[in-house]
Amino acid sequence: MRDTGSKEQVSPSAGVRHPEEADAALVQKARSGDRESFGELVRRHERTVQGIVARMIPSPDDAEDVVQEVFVSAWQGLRRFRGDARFSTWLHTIAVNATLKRIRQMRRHGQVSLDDPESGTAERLAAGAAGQPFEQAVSAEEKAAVRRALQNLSDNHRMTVVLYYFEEHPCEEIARMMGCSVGTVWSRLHYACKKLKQELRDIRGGDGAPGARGERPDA
Amino acid sequence: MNCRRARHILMQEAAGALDEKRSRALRGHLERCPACAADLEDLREAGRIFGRARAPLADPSPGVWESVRERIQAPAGRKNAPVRRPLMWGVATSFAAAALAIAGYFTLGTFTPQEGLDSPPAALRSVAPQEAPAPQVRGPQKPAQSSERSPVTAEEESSVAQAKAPGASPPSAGRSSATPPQRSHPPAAGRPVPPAPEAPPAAVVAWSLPAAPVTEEGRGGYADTEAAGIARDFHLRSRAVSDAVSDHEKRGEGLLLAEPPAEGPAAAWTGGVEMSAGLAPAPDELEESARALEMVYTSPDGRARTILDY
Repeated sequence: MRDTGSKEQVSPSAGVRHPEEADAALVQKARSGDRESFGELVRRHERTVQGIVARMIPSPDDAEDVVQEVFVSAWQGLRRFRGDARFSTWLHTIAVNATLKRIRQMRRHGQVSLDDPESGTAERLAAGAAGQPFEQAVSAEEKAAVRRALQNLSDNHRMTVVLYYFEEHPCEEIARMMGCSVGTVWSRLHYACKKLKQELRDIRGGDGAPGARGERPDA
Repeated sequence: MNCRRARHILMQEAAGALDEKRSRALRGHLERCPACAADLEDLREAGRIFGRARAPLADPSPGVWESVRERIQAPAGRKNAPVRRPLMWGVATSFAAAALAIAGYFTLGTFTPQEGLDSPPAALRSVAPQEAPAPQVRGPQKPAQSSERSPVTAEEESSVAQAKAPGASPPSAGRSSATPPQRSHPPAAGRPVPPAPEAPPAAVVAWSLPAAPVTEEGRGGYADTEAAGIARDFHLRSRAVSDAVSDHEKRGEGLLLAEPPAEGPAAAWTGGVEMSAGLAPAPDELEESARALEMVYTSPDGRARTILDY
């Protein structure tokens, strides 16, 4: 269903066809100090890293800085990467942690309120760095519900939504990236979806869902 | 299958990720439970909306690699170097304290390896079992001895993460220098680098609480309500967590509790203990859901294992 590897472009310079093999070859060279090979890795993955970071951090400048930090950290820690996971997963784990860390710092210093509706953060979550609007297929009320739901989610829940729905990572990878269990990822998605549905109901001024909701027989 | 079990797998069913056997069992339940069936439809609709809300990304900022290269080529590239921070212990102590403060993300202990390309991967070395702190004392928790406590920042004080720190190294400036670095500037030269750790741990394990403060009103926000729920029975769960960690230590697996380093490569955070409120699908179920607690230990080789499911 979800294959993040398909997002990666195979670099002709890497000399191999499969993205993971290309990454592995480049990592091997980079670990021996070949900065240009690492540069190729940066170019291959900057879009996905930016996707994670920019959908979570409202300021383009801050997002850009975090993206750079992610790659600097990856370079510094490259020897820790032992190849038992995909390089992209490892890199995205760094991106997730760096992003959440920066958000905590920003909130701590009052630099930005991620929950401030005026900041448009929620819309940027879905839209990415350039601030494109939501997809046209989303109605106005759905757009408002998504915005409100995202604003009311914790950072971890918001990140999970970003990784699953917007960056299309499989739950197993998200679990690795976020250092939690797969069950926790599903739990967070469950909660986020319920939150969105509740916001929709509120906006629609009723139960919002077609049909009456029945009673649980054994709850 | 009852509603409780059904709710745990509804999201997977909505996403089409449930295996056939469980999906069949769930469908059997849904045929006689309109409430769960409605929940499933809610999840499906919400998932579709989230999926449609996704917009394509802009092109990456130009010159990412050039900026990164500038930073990693800086001769004293220590601005991004990790800083050793005090290793603090006291699981139950911290849990009990956190029940009072519940201020959000806080630290039980932390370890940040000092390493770069030119140094060994300290964070992934093994920890001898005897280096692990002693199991936590049950029952009423004693405050950490002042001689064992490292100086903490005001933030740490507020988070009441007062834990023992046998052999703790001096605190780094990292905790208090959380201001994001200047963008696109090379690392500052000449930054003092703390000595490398003598006995780096096998894994850094983190746990966290929701960032939102407890509110009386509980507007229905997940974080607020989750935090409130955790606060209500935190003293009970601290015992369970403490037991789990102690058992883990007794097996000689060198479990350390930490949070991701405030500075340095985020990759140094190789493991995680995740506290989760579990499924919290509806306000009337939040209290029950908030009792769910899961701790997952991720070893350096990436194998995640649940060590507590409370």
